[in-house]
Amino acid sequence: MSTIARLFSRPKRATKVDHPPQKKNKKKERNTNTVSTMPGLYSRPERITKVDQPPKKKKKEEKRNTNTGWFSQLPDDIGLNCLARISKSQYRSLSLVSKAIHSLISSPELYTVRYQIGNTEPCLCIRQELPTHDRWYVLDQALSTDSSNGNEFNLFPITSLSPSKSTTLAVGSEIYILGGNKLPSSAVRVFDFRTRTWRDAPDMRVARKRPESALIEGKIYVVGGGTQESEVFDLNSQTWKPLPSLSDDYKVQLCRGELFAICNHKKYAYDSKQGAWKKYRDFSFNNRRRLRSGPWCVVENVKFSVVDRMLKWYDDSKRVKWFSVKGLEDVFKDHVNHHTTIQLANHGGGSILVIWDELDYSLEFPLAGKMRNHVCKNRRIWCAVIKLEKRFFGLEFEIWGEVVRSNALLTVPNSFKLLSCITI
Amino acid sequence: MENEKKMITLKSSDDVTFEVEEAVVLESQFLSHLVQDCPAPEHKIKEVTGKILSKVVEYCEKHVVVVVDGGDSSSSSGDDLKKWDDKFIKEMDLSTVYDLIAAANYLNIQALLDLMCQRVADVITACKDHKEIRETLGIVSDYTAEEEAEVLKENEWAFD
Repeated sequence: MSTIARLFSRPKRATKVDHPPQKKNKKKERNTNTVSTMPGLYSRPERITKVDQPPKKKKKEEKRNTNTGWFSQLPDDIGLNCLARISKSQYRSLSLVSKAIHSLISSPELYTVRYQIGNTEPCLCIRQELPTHDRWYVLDQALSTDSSNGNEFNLFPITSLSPSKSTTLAVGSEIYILGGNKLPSSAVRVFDFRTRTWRDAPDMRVARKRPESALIEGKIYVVGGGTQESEVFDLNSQTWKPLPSLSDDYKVQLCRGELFAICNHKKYAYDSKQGAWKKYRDFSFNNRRRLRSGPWCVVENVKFSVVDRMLKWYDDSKRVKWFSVKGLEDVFKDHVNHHTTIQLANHGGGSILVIWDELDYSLEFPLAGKMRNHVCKNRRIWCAVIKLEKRFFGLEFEIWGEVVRSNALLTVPNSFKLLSCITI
Repeated sequence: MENEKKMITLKSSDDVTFEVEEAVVLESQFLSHLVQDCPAPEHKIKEVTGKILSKVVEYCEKHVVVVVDGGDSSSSSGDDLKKWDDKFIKEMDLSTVYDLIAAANYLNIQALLDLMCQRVADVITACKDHKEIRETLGIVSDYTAEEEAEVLKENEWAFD
């Protein structure tokens, strides 16, 4: 009974059947379907509340007057389900409607639901490099707007107090800026995209200059930046701790969400769950150098990254670790391939967001009354939302991607650089 | 295969009856429990009127067919279904939307509930300001003038 209940809780629209149809035997069809979707990566999320018991609380409609205030009488989870489908740009006017809606708009659950239904919007952190100093901006734009893309005037300046060229890291709805640029610093500044405000996080234990950082299983790991010591920040307890030391001389590398170290010609990998270094045997270890830096993100427990200019997913149980996401070869070859920067983010609802930029070279513009064929470098920032789907072949599976939308977000002069992207 | 299909009768609060295949009933988690726990040929749903139940049945019948026809053509049938959904909600007035939200919540049909919430979201998106949203959804503001000014001020930074 519970099997069937689980099976039918899935919305049919999202269902893609991974095997030939068996019209003659519906029962069997449904059972096979369960097997393929039960490991269940990309099926839509269940409602947060009550799945197995029939809801009984809804008696309110009997009391309502025909057209007044029915929206306010909806249970909170349904109200959130509606509001999460609306662009953030409307939340300001919505919170003016009534106190109840204001409280829903202000609740963190709203952002959880936006992830569940896959209606997040990208926020970009962009830096303009000027000879004397750097300026920082954010772009916070609805994806649903028409195809015309913005320019630098759409950017929202956040220049105050932010250090130049230090490391940025996307953490939830916030961007962490770690360490210094020209001089080492232990300062950590945090910008919250929801409130558009800055705050200070606890200082790192060690001053660093442009360190490397990664968010792994809810903790921030920072390595390098002019020091051998690595440290980890626990977001829950808001405390920094040093990573266990291996010996006097070892070097830690961050590689797409994993920490590796070489010490006395032995290789170690860091087990972030147990907080300990473990000996590591992997024939492809030398490839680590090649794989060292690059964008990556986790979507429904699978790690994705851009490797050799293709979107790939990671399977630690295999000898070859990275597998191409199928169905995207043309998109990446023709389009994404020319990027200078690329960022990945979890778009929610089993989708991944790819943000990349490309340089436009020729541009004519009038100068001193004449049309000059001036070579002016412009940077165009693109975004694509890719729906991911597991397709099973017996016990094995492949991951396929389908571009749901793709458009230019922004065109800015070359001096503007794309730093980080988050989705909220 | 016709004779294999098990038929079930649903009766609305105002005694309108609908004879549907069992597969259609199983779209609703609530009804699938009910059908299994008490295998009667007829089930009365006291909370849902005939007008709304007919919409629910129409939705579930459409969606159950597509799953059975699935397989290789899933993407095209997915598009058809999307078109059908769009048409299904396009002409619907908000009071029907509300009743369908209540019915989908009661009968536990998540996809229908999501579709109706999307419809509410579309209606709100089409409004140009908070006054129009209030008017459309029939919400009477419970803010005093001072409170409203305060929320406006507090939001100036956050969203623009």
